[in-house]
Amino acid sequence: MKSRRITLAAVCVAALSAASCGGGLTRLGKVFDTSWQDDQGRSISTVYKHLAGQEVPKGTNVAVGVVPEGLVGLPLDGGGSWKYAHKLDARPYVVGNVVVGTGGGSVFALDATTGREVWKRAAGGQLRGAGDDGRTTVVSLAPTSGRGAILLAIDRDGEVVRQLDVDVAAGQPGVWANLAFIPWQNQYVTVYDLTSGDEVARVTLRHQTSRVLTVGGRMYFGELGLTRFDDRIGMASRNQASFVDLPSRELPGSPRWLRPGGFERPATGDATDRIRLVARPADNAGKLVLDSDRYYATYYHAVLGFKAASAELAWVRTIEQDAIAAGPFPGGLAVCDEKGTVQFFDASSGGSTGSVRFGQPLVSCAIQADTLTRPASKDAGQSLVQQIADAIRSPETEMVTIQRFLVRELASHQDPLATSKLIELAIDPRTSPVLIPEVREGLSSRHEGVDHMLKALEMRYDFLHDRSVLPPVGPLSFALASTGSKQAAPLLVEHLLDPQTSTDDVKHIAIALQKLAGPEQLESLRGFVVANRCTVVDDDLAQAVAATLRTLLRLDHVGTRQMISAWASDPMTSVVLRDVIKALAGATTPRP
Amino acid sequence: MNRSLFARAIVASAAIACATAPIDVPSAEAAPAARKTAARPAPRIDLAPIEAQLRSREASSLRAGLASARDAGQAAAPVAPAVQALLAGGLPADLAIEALQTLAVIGTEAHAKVVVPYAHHRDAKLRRKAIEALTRLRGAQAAATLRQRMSDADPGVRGAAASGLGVLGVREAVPELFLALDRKVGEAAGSIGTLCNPEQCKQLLDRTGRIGFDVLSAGFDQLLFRSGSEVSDDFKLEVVGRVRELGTQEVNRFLEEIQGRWPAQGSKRVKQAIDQAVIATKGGAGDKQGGAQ
Repeated sequence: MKSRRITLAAVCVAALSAASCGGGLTRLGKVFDTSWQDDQGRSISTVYKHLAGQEVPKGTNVAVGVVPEGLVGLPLDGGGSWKYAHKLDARPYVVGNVVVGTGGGSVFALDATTGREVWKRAAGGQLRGAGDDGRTTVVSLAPTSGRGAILLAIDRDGEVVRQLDVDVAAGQPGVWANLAFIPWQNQYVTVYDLTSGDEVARVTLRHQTSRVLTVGGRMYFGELGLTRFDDRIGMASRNQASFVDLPSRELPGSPRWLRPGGFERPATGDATDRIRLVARPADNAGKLVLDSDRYYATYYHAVLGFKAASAELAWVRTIEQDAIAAGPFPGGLAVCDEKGTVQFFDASSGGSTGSVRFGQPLVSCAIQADTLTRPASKDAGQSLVQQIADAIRSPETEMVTIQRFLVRELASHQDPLATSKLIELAIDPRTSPVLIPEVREGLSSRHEGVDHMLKALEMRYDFLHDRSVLPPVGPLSFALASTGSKQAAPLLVEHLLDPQTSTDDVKHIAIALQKLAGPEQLESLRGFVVANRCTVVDDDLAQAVAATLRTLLRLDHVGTRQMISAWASDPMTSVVLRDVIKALAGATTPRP
Repeated sequence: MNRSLFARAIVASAAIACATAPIDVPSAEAAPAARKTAARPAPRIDLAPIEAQLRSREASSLRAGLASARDAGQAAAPVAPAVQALLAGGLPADLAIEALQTLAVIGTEAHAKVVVPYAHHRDAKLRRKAIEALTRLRGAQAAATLRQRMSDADPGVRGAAASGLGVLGVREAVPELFLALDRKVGEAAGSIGTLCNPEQCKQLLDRTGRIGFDVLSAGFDQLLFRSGSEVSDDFKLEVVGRVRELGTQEVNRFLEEIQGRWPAQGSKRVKQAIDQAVIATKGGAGDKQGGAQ
């Protein structure tokens, strides 16, 4: 290694002899000194002012895939794809306009647009993170000791301009104008002057921070949310810096926006690549917000867009293969799948804005789409309800958990079409049995789409016409009772008397009819009670008979009381009904 | 077809023949089984003890009363309202079945109404017994219920309903009976054979080879014994010819049965064809093989 190799101790010694650093920045003292007292943002504000007016170079728009032979790159603005054959022992990073990787005892950087090797050096550790400002690349490597981290600052000629062997938990670093930004201990970002070797600033953050990122020419610190490096950064320790986080919302698989920085990841993908949250910070009149008021989630074959302000689901799309990486761009989202297709989605509608292909399956993928623009989507016609219904029908078994989530989403929509879709799901034999309880629960909570419910109740089992599917009568009964839909009563009675209706559904029908039945149903309800009062053994059916007796008391108090009085002492009355009938016979007034 | 299946087909045919005897042959000759259920003069019996038993809430007394009423046959018709009342008030399954069987024997079309709810009972056995009772009680309500229950989930109920429709002579149900036949409701074949018009009879014959002969034979049996005004001799000859082509042992047994029951005044041409077919199929291939000899 041609460059100076400076250990932390050496840095400290050098620092003692230096009164100040170049460009007006002042040395703080010992680098990564844990006894440091917060300076109320003075040093970091000084650095910000020092850099004011400068912009971090924007990143190349590229997707980089790991394949068995090495790396493949696909520029997202157009242009030819590239290949780079090399062993990989960790997940590569796309930062600025380079791709950084390790493997085979080397660390290397490639031009992200062409795949040309920019530099390559011998190095033993696996890649944990990287940052780049167009002139210098800061690389974090895992030390062989397993403790601390090795940080290398390498210029475009492959010269190591600085090496730091640190024994604190350092995260993913960034670099800007020869200043390395190093997050550590989940709460500090140290600004390290690569020329002088001094720690020239430190900021204490009130949100867990292990990554330094550059997006759209701005620098951010974060992990749980993002803090922008701007004119408010000096107030970070008082929790008044520009900060943005995703709304708290329970999602299947508990996906994260940003993984903890400072850990090497295998070159091959895993479930956390498939289940994750994605968002792009943006500025709105000086306020840090999320681009397009959206954040996104991927879950295997599902891609979801959420409203940033309310956390409501805005759209959901399905893709044919597992999503293994996603990258936001202004106004949209790029998703890389395991077969090597990168698809683009409109932020607002989720409509497709095109795709590009690697032409081969990928082991893992990384996307940087910092300045990408895509044409407007022509594919925004489907309603959200329809999108949800389509996503729920996706047959892949790993989708069941997100589908349960989507069923609950569907049930929460006021659109009557949602009722229709829930009914379709309930009767579709292809619907996963795991989803059925959610579907039925969702249906029973519906207040909209009564017409769809009534139409569903017209369905019957019919052997001769190969109609073996029954409507979800139980949940529909509950929903219709809660909406007071008396017009459902004749249909519900038909299902009550249908031997194909499950006893659980019969129970719910009978309970609903307590509210909905009218005099027109009197005779049929009597028939139901008579047919079952001596034969019933099933508890659900017994409850159904009891509920029907209460309905009969409401509709024909005198006649029913006579009947009940006779049955109360009849030894032929089913054992499971006797107590109920005796209680009703003893009651002086019918239940409403 | 094994012998038991074949025997069942013949019994089913006979049961249907009971209700729709051919016009040009004496019913007793065409369907011996029908003689067993022919109307008998009702003996005079004392119904008071039976009525008393039917008023009891003791299961054993009720059972005895129902059995006595059944045994008395039409002579017990005056206690039919009491049996009807029992069913209308609800009974345990075993007693309900006995009540249905009793009402079927002593009741009339007017009693069908109380039976209909049992044709929709959750207990499939009760439904089947209700269908059998409705088949004997007859009437429009019975016919409508039987047509509906052909779509029942229980094969036994479907079969009873399909058989019953033949007994009741519900010709408008033939299209549904074909649906049932095509869905392996074998009992539909006999009813179709009883009720079909020429075009429908041809449709039944055209199913030869597609549906097992053990199923279709009940329909062909009915066809062959129907009057010449309903089913022409030419068509009967076509039936014999198509059946003969199958050439199996079960076909031979079937034809021998037909030959044995063929009425003296029946069509000579058809008789001759049956005789020849019996000879031609003697020593025919096993049940799984086809082809005339």
